[in-house]
Formats: sequence, structure tokens, C-alpha cells
Amino acid sequence: MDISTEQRALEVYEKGVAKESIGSLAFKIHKDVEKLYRQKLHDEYHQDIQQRISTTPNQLLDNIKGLSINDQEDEEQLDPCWILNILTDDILIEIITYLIRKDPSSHVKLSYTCKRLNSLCFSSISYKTLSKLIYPYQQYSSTSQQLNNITTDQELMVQNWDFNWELMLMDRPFIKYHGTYISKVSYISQGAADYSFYAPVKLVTYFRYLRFHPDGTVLKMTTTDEPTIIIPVFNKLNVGKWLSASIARFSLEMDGRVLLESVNESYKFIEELQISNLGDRKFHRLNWINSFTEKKSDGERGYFSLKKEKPFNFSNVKSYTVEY
Amino acid sequence: MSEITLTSSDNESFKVEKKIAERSILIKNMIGDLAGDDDDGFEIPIPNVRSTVLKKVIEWATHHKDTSFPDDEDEDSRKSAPVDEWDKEFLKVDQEMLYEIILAANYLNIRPLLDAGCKVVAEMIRGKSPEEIRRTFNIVNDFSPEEEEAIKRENEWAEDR
Repeated sequence: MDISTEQRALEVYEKGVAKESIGSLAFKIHKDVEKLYRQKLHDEYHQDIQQRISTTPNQLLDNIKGLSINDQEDEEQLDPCWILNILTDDILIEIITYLIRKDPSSHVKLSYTCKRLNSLCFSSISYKTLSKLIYPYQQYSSTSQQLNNITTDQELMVQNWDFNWELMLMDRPFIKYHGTYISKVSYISQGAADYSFYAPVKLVTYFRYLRFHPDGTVLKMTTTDEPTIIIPVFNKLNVGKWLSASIARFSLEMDGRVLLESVNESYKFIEELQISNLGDRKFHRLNWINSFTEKKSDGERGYFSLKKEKPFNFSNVKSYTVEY
Repeated sequence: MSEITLTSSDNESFKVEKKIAERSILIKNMIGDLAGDDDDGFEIPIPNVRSTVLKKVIEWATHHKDTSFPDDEDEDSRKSAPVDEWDKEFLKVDQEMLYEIILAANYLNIRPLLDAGCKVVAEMIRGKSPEEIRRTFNIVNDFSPEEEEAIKRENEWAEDR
């Protein structure tokens, strides 16, 4: 039913309310005209109330709120917020620290509840706690470790960021372990030989999956299977189940370059990726830099084309347990 | 000296075995600094804690007078240890009392009780949506809808590591 018909029916119906006898005509134009009319009254009523509220002085409004104590909602509001009234910031931060350790998603949800908890959830102690849960488990390459004096003692590391834990966490790339990085590649392929009269094409889609582990290994797989199928079972223990899955070693540079390396009898397979942000999501993406093979005998390199490749995006998986 | 007297903010006095009172590092240090060896009936005012709360704290200390807790400095094992079953039962009190016990444990410097209390509160938060958390604790949402959206975008990253 288009709007002009509705509008017309409504107009007629309104006249009909004044003159009951015309009412029946409105129904002939639009059978739900009564509903439309009620909706209109309803909307106008609410608009009116909103307008009145916005023009009522605040003090008066507060008085009215105070009067209507029988209202269920107001009764709830009268209960004091003991947790914020009694506990000091120090203690609340202590509680938040437990959440950060045990359940990162609850930590973030708590920060959405109100302004005070939001600022406490992201105090410098929270950044420090997060740093200590993240950086000691990163696998830096030995050259990067030497060049940058990387140690697992984050109290020392943070000196490089003027003792500012937040700054370090925002600035220093890291690999995430509680999930899988996924790259979805789609391209159009010529479906038939050149001499064919038709030129059918087909859309090819496949996925690359990477799951990193704090022990320096990474589970890799390329498959046409969708993430919903792969993610729940994408575990090192299942590596034998898929032909295209393998385990490689990885190492990280201070600037966020990641090197994946695996070997067979005669070749080394090397992939270079760069950690980057995805909007507000810190270090959420891996961009391709290089992918090549290196002959063990003479070091000759063969580079793979990255034209079709797409970046990997991180996907958090709650069911994964990470062994540190 | 075997017993000391603790006096709450509302002037109720509790006679407590020294060993139990010394679960509080604050009291332990006070005794060490101020009391003589034969100073029986040494009295310590606890001006920040009301009697019903002090009674609960003494009940906890009495139960744990022989318990050996992990070292204060060993933050990792302190923080990752699950809450003791008896403590869990002990802390099944209304929210106001729970927070007052935590506050008292903090003031009296009773680390294991403070830890247990904080863990219990953290468990009350875990697995809930922001709205459920607000309802559980009567937290008033003071964000405008726009602010709330912005906060969600800003904080989301902290979930992933």
C-alpha cells in the first residue's frame, strides 16, 4: 500500500470522525484506515508529551519524579548502588583486574555500564595488567630481541614508552592467540575454454586460516570451507585431518612484521605479514608483504603472486583455550 | 599477652585471641609497635568498621587462624587461585554487607579476605550483558546513547588478545 493512498484514506477517515456517516467510505479506500488513524493519534500524543517534557523546567520534573513512588521503575531506582557508594576506586580497580585476567569480554561489558566504571576499567593499572598478559608471550625473532633489548619484564620494556602503559599497548604490535585470523579470497575465473561460444565465469572463494600459539607455532590452512565449519575444530591436534593444513613456526619483529616459516626436504616456505589496525580494533589485521620459497641448496627464491590475496582479520573465539 | 580488645565504630568491644586479631596486618603491626609483652587487654579502636561488619571479619579470622595463605608478593598465584569454598559460603551476604567486609579487609590489611571478596564480586559481573550488570548492582547508566555507542567502539579492542 503506497503512502499517498494511506494519506488519502486518513484524510477521509478524519472527516468521517466528524461526520460518522462518511466513515464507511474511508473503509472502502483503505481497509485498515482505523488502524492508521489510531496510530496517528498515538504518535501525536507522544509528540505532545515529549514537547511538554522538554519545555518543563528540570526542577519541576524532578519533583514529579519524586512524587510517583508507586511506579515500578522508580522504585527500582530508589535502591542505592552499594557497589559504587561503598567501594573505593582502588578496590574497584582490583576487581576489574580479576576480570581482565579471567574474562576479557566481561571487563569490556562492565566498562559500558557507566562513566565511573568506564574510566576505572581503562585506568593505567588496566593497561599494565593487559601488557603483562600480552607481551611476555609474544614470540620475537632472536635478532629483534637483541636489537631492541626485548625482555619479558614489562616494567623494563615500558621505559621505552616513557612509563606510559597505555601508550605502549597502543603502539606496540602483538599477535592475538584467543582466536583465528581469516583471509577470505574471492575472484572471478574463466569457466570454459577460449573457443567456447559462451564465456561463462565462476566466482572462486576460498579461505586462509591462521591460528597462532604462544609456543611459536602457527596452524595454517587454506580451504573452501566456511569459517563456521572450520573455526570450532581449528586445533593443532586436528592438523592431520586436513590435507591443506600444516604447522609452521612464526616469529615477530618489534615493528609488527610476522614471519611464517616451514620446511620440507628441499625448500623453505616463507610468508611475511604485517600487523596493522582495523579501524578502532588494535592490531586486528595481518597484511601480506611477501610469500616465497627458498631452495635449500642454493638459496634461490621463487615469489608467489599476491595479486588475489586479501588481508587476514582476527576473529575472537571464546571456546579456544590458550596454553601459555 | 593472649587476648586483645577490638572496638568498633559504634563502640562495641570484642575480645579476640591475639593470633586471630593478627590476621590483620594493621593490627599485627600496631601490637608490635605499641604493646608491651605483658600488656594484657590491649585495646585497639577500629573507627572505620561498624560492629556487625567487625563481627563477620572476626568470624572469618577465627576460621582461618591456622590457614597458610600464599605469599603477599606472589601476585600471580594469589590472583589465579579460586575462592575457597568456605569463604564463598561466608560471603553469601547482601551486597551492602559484602562491600563493607571488603572495605574493612582493605582497611585492616587482611589480604586473603580482600582477595576473596574481590573475586566474589568479579564472579557476580562475569558473563552478564551491560544491562544485566546495571540491574544486578543498581548502576545508573549516565551515558547518552551517542556516548554509549562511542564507548563501545573505543573499548572493543580490549576483548581480543
